[in-house]
Amino acid sequence: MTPSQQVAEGVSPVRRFRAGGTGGFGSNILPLAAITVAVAAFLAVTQPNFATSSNLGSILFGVSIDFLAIIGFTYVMVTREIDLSVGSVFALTGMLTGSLLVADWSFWPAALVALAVAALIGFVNGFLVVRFNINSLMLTIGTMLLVRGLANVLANNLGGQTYPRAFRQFARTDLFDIRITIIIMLVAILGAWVFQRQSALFRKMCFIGENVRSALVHGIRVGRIKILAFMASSVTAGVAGIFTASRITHADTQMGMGLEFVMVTAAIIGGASLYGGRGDLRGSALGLLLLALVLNGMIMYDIEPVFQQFVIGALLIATVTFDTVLNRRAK
Amino acid sequence: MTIAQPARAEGAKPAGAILELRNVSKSYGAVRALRGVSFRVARGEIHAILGENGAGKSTTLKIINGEIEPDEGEVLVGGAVTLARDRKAGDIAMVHQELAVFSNMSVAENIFVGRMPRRNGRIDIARLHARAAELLRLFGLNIDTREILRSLTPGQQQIVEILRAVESDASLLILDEPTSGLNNHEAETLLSLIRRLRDGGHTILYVSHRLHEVLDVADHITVLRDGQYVETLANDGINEGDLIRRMVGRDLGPGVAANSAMLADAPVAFAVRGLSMAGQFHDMQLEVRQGEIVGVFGLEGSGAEQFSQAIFGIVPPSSGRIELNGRPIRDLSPASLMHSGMSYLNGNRKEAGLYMERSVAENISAPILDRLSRWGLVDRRKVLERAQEDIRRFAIRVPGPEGLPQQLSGGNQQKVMVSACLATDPKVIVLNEPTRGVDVGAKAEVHEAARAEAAKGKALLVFSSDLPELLRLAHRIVIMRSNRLAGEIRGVEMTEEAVMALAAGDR
Repeated sequence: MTPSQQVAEGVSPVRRFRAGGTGGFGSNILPLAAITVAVAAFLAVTQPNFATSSNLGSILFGVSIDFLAIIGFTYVMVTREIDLSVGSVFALTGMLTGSLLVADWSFWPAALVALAVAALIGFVNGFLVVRFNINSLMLTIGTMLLVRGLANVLANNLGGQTYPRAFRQFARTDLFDIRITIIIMLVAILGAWVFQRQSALFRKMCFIGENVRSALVHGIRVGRIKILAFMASSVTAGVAGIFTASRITHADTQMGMGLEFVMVTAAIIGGASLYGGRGDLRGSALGLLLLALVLNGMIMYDIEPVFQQFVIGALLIATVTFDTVLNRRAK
Repeated sequence: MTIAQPARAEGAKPAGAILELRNVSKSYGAVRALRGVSFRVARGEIHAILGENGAGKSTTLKIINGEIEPDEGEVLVGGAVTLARDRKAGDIAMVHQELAVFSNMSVAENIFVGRMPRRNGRIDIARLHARAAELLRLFGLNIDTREILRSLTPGQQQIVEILRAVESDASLLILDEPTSGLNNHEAETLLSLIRRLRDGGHTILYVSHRLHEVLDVADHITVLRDGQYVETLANDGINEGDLIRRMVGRDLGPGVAANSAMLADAPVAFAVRGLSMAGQFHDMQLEVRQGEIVGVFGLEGSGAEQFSQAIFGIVPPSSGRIELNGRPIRDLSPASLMHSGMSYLNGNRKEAGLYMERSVAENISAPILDRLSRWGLVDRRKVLERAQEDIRRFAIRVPGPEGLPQQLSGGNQQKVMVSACLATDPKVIVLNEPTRGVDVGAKAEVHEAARAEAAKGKALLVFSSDLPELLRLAHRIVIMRSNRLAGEIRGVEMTEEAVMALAAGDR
């Protein structure tokens, strides 16, 4: 079934590029950073309102929250699975925390319970995928709908009520005059750099993603690692959800809608692949930033907000096409 | 009937030859699958092609069926030289070993798929079933044309598939192992169908491992060995022994003078007790002692392949036990078995065993990442050192430890895979087709590595369809046939004839 692997003397440019994502780890970060800077520069020159500290600050703040959610998501993609339930888990965890706070819980117990629920959802996703070998794309569409239903129940119960004041302030916590989520993002990127470069776990994830049967033959605990990745995906989505709930101050049924598609697009732009074996959290962060700049630019240019979905859709199609073509040529 | 003789001399061709191969050769990379094969098939006969695994049967069939073009030589159909695409479009029909039926459609629909009788642009259902019933009656088959295929026995499904080929008006039918997976009764029905087809004027090219069936049904038998033509025999008065001798051919010198008497005292390192998997293998018993190399041989469909995967937990067995050093292993997953000191070389490196887009160093260290790590972080220097050691030890021809496997030749890829397999310093090693598709040099090096491991007291279990390889490597050979253990041969009794008689024989 697999196309016969040619034993070529040289390596085609495409292969070299592909290998760059794994072997010469992170080599496509620089071009991506250059594109991002170019887009920012273009907006800064053409739009006076762009390069203001308040606009840049709010873009970075938004990206830093979404970034929390893409951490686990990226690593699920490395194992050649996908978790489309992130947007719903994001919403449920945020609203559950808010609901518990409205019911006079204190913050940490509320957040921990909500994150435990998120972890459970991730475990169920991973367990079903591993145990019954279900296609994670379809399975997590199911979880996405199911969890969205639960989130909507919470939203209806709260009925637009704002969260307690202490919680509304939570996302605006500053450390050294910088939003705490931005600091978390920077620390996480440094952590990811070490994790991806050095850790045995990340290598095993890459092995699983590139050839799951090889990984099995090499005694790698494939099932355990995949379940772990799905749990990480839900928990990081949950943490981002808690910050977002605090930021938007009330329960909103629109919260986290379509987030999964932003994640896929950003992760692939950042070097992950639908065909597994690759992924780079630094690239995912840049992908999110690039998308945020594009959307911000559209607002600056007074393009109808309804057009945002169109652009996200178009970018998603473009990235998965690019990903698939590259993958096929590499084979 | 015209007798088909090998076309050694370029003389006048007999009028009756429907198919002729002249000096056909085909290579896959460094592997020469066919070398100068020539033979003729007469019109209206049942012509069997016989050979061990890897003798070149499938390649020959693919060439005749027009799936691939030979590198050299000609294929004549009805006396005219043809191209692969002509043969593909022409009146040759092949029924593959694996069933290709529409399980949820009726018998009649399966037979006439793509050629349903129509009336006014719609399928004429009445005529469809009438014609199917007629066809079935013609061959004395008692099958309801409205039956859904899923509810038929495998034998009946196979028959429906053959009838589909018959219905396509093909004059040459190729049947590849049509009776594998059928019980004796079903096989008998199928063979009588094949005879009726011949009597009705069809020519049948028949490939089977079952010697008694071939002797039962074929008019002529062409034997291939190691990609070369051996002989075409007329089926009168020959017996299984004659065929086996020709399939096996050469006389190899005695293998490694293995002293199995010395090994008899060594402790049992690996044992399989009553392992079964529904439909694949039953009640397997096996012991391998420290320092021993045990070969497992079975023809395609014997269950040997599934058995090899089950003992490493890749496909979990349905019942039975595996013991390592006398200790039963409860969790039969690859990770757990590996943790207990077992290691496995996958039989097909294209499918699994390598990561084509990761460096040779990463490939070799894949099973031992945890050992090369501290606090969960991989010591990259150790990974490189380890790889350099193995590159030297196995003489892997690679630009450096950072090279990618996809840049290497098959033999060097195989050596990378063997390095990874031995990296854990396992006590029990399962090698699956250890030298499939590698050149002679790499083959010798892999064999040397296997012997060295045995000399260190490791227990080796080698699955191979390459019988000479097993004869040279193993202290004893366990043979599987029809999903069961068929017997065991050791020491001086290990000859190709003896093994083949157990693997392909009648009982």
